[in-house]
Amino acid sequence: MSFTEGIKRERDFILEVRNLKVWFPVRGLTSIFARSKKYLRAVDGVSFNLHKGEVLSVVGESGAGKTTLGLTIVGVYKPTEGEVFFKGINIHNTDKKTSLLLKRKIQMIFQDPFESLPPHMTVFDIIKEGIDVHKLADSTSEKIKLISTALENVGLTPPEDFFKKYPHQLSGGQRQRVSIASILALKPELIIADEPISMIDASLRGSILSLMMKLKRDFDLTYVFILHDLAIARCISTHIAVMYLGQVVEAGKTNEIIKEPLHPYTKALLSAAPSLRKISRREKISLKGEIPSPIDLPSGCRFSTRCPFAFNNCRKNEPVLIETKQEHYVRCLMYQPMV
Amino acid sequence: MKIEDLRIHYFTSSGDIIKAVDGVDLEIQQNESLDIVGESGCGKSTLAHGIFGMLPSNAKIVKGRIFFKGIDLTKSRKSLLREIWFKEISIIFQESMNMLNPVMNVEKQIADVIMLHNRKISKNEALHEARKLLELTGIPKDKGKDYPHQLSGGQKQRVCIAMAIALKPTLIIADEPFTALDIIVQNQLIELLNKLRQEIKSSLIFITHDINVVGELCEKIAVMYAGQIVEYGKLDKVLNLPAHPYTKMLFDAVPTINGDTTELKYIPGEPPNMINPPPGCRFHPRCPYTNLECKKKEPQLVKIEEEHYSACHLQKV
Repeated sequence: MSFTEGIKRERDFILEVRNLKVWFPVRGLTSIFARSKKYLRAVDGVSFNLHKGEVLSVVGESGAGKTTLGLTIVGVYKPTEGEVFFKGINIHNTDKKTSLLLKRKIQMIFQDPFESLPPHMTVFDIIKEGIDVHKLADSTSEKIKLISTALENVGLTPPEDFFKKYPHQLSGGQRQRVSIASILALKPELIIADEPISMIDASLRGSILSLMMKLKRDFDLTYVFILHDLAIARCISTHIAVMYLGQVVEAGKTNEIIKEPLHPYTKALLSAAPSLRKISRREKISLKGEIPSPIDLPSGCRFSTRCPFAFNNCRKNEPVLIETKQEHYVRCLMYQPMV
Repeated sequence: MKIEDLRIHYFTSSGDIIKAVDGVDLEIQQNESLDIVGESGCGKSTLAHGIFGMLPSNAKIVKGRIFFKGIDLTKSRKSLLREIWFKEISIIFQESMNMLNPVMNVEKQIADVIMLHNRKISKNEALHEARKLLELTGIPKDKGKDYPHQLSGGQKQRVCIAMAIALKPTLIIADEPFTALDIIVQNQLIELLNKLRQEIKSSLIFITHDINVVGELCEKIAVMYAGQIVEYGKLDKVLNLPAHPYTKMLFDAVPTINGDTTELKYIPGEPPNMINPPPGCRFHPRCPYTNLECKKKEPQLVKIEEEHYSACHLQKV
């Protein structure tokens, strides 16, 4: 895995994101009269690529652009600049037929299983909808078979018991299983999971994550998790990318990031993670203030307004993401060779 | 404050009775702080609202008593409760920040609370007091005149903290106050609440489902499951040697950033339906140590060591 702009484009990358920028124009009185248009820079120059079977966790505070990144990969937003490739195919620039195929191969799991399932449809209909759209089965019996297998795969057994149920009759954990079943039925290859467990009870989180990891092994899936909890990222992912204000500030192998974080922001996130048993608590780095607005970005390093180590240069020069050692990337002037 | 055998039930329109809080005994001393931990639906929020006297219309305290400084709150009239609210007991909700009045600037809202309980104070004095409180909670000086929509989530929650401590209450109830906030802001606010609470020497009941936050604020902890307290005691005792299987499994289910293991653990099964909770010990369908007794007899909280109680048949001495 690499986090700088692609040097070579390889077919064996299942997902390749190249210098992705997603900007939203800001509407309002001030922008009508403003000379230059203002933009909210949700994602601002993100590059990475994933091999099949890797699990990447994108971590950061809300407002970091994690969800926008996820939605752009599944094709909801069009990039302002940059490209997203799925097995070498540009997902935002293909013909209709390929586009439909990609919509099947790349799936998304949403945060809130209370809102992401349509309340007026039964579990059976919810899963059937996708199968119909992608014409995966011809006869009714075939459909029933597909739906049953999907429900069995996510541990909702016997599946017949759930066919006629509506989302409100299910618990939070069961709902999330249904949404996983509904995408599993489509035989995806890449799954973007946007905070899939943040609305689920602590005692059940592990069961949903273990299920997802089991499905990954059984069906050869690749995951991009969007999370705010580094402790969970540590348990499930092979790689971690830390985002701040639309940019990746640090990325690398999970163990590297957790054991030897370089960027002050990652260090702060790690020390902020409250730990139940405070035996080996890290030195606490507290940050002042909150994440700045992605419309009026700070000059220089975007983190300089909150960074406890910021010096003058940080407010003038914008750092770039560099590889400090094998597969460990950081965006901070402290680690940048002097020019 | 002392709570005795409190039972709060919801009566649904379809005639079902949801036993949200079903036999809770608690005691909290002056200047003490207590964490109430549990999963969603275990009745912890209902308990908080019950103590504060703000239950929704379909909920009823069917049994039990809540003594506050010797007064039984369950039998008090609304007018007395109004006297107590904010002056003696104040509350910070999870959605507090969305409960601020959108058409009133924040310093005026805080001044309102002050004036309501102190008729002698002039408006200017109250506003002055409000500004001081805002400064204490770390809101920039020029923000006092702002309306809630101009503040960020963290700042709004700071305003709510300012409001809660405005009259130096004896007891603060915080019901999942920081769940909607980012981890870094959450940390800032936990530190703030802790500092202010100790300054005004009030007691604190901190309700959370986030096991990670436990121990940041409180010296005592109560673990709730299905409307009942299953374990209760001094924080370090419960953390180091959880006695109830539920507590132990719940703690294990939380991944840590520093621990040796990255294995995912969880409790099998689902939390029980509160209309028909399982007989005997309510945790028995999910418990790995269940025996016959667990299925029949409801366990009581028993003392297992000094300042440590647990409700499990297996711990009988």
